[in-house]
Amino acid sequence: MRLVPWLKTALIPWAAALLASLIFGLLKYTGGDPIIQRGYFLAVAFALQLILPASLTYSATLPLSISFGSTRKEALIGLLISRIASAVLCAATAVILDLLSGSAALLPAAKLLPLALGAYLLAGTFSGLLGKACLRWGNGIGYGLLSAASMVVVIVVMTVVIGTADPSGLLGSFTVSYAVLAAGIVSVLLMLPFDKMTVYNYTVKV
Amino acid sequence: MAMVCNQLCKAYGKKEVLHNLNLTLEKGKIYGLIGRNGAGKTTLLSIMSNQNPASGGSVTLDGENIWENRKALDRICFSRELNITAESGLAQYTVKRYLAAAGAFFAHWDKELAERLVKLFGLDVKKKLSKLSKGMLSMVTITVALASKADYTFLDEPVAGLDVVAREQFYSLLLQEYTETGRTFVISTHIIEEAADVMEEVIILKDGAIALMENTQDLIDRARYVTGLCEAVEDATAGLQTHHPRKTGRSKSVTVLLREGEQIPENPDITVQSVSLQNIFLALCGEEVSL
Repeated sequence: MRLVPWLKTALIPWAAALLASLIFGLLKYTGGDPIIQRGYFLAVAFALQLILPASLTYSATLPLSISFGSTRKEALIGLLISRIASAVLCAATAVILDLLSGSAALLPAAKLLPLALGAYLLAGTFSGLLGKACLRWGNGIGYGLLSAASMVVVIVVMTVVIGTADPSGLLGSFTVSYAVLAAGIVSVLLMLPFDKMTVYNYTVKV
Repeated sequence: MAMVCNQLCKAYGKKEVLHNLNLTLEKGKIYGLIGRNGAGKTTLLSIMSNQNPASGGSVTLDGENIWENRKALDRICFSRELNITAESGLAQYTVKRYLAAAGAFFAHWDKELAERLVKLFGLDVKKKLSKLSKGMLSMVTITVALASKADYTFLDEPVAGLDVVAREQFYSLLLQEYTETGRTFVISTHIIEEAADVMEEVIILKDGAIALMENTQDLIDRARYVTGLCEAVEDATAGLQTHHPRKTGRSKSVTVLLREGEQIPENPDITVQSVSLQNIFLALCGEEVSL
């Protein structure tokens, strides 16, 4: 099985997250509330994932893999691996940069990592659903609208959830962190039958 | 050693594109697949390469179903016109990245050949696919097809947008690769006359079914174009397999496909000529147009 192209697609969201973190890392030294800044950092990382555009990269790798001789099963595994790998890379980057920025005390890595990983997995599922919608009904305008809508949703949700995660409060608790991680994993598992249906019925279009 | 389509069907919604199609592709031949727009050529090739699931029937390679068959898919390549839109995701790919992806997926990818072809075609590998002309995109698809080294290689409109020099280059490269490797090629094209010289066998697809499949030279040898006075033409071609009759005043013309042992009787009121492959195709698939 040839995984390299799929793993490369995982690097795009990661690069977006890194870019966002660098921007916000620089902004951090200009002052401001670090909790809110961290929330924005993660939110913008998600937004950039969609802007760059990660979904398009996924949707290019699927037809490429099938048109270059992958089986549907390999394409499905590749899709899952790229989604999980991008989530792991993004979450790990978030934690490392958060530690480097000195705000780790606000939300320890042990809490931030599962929270970010779960959130990125959820975002991956969301992005996957968008991809399916685009494949099913998509056109350029539809894709643009869906992307814009998804960015707004992701920014709002992630800013509220992670940005305000006070370690002493509910959102900063281990329970919530691992609940988000569990939700992320469940979302990936729930998507599996739909992913399978999409990949197995996929027609490479001229 | 063959690829076999057995009772192949494909429908898009309610529209049936292929109807119980049967086809056998033997190893080591160059086939020309010709048909009108919408005849089902691309659909057929995409099903035979696992890129499009069939609605019914099967495709086997040396007796094994190709669907989800890694071993079989390692031996098949379908190189088609690239869809460079924002939605396809290919717009951001450079030539280098696209060829690298092909190299990562194709089991027998010949990197050296790909590099030689890129040089021969003068492709700028740093250029994005979205910035390439139609002809340049064709060169990329030809590079993928030849460098894939797949036993069964299908090319859909490989010369679209290519100038006459580049088209000659393509046919020459194709013959060279065919001679050296004995790979099987299926070329779908609308530029029939040019491709006729390299097609060992011709497959004519009409309305989702095989209308004719035959050795190209044998087909040309048994085709005749008969013109003359109406009655004389009708007398001479009575009982023969005629196609595409045309009447102009008292004159008539018709294309005849002679079966074994058949002849057109000599008659001073008719003229009998040989027919090009393009005109045979026209006779079989063309329709009278009236406004």
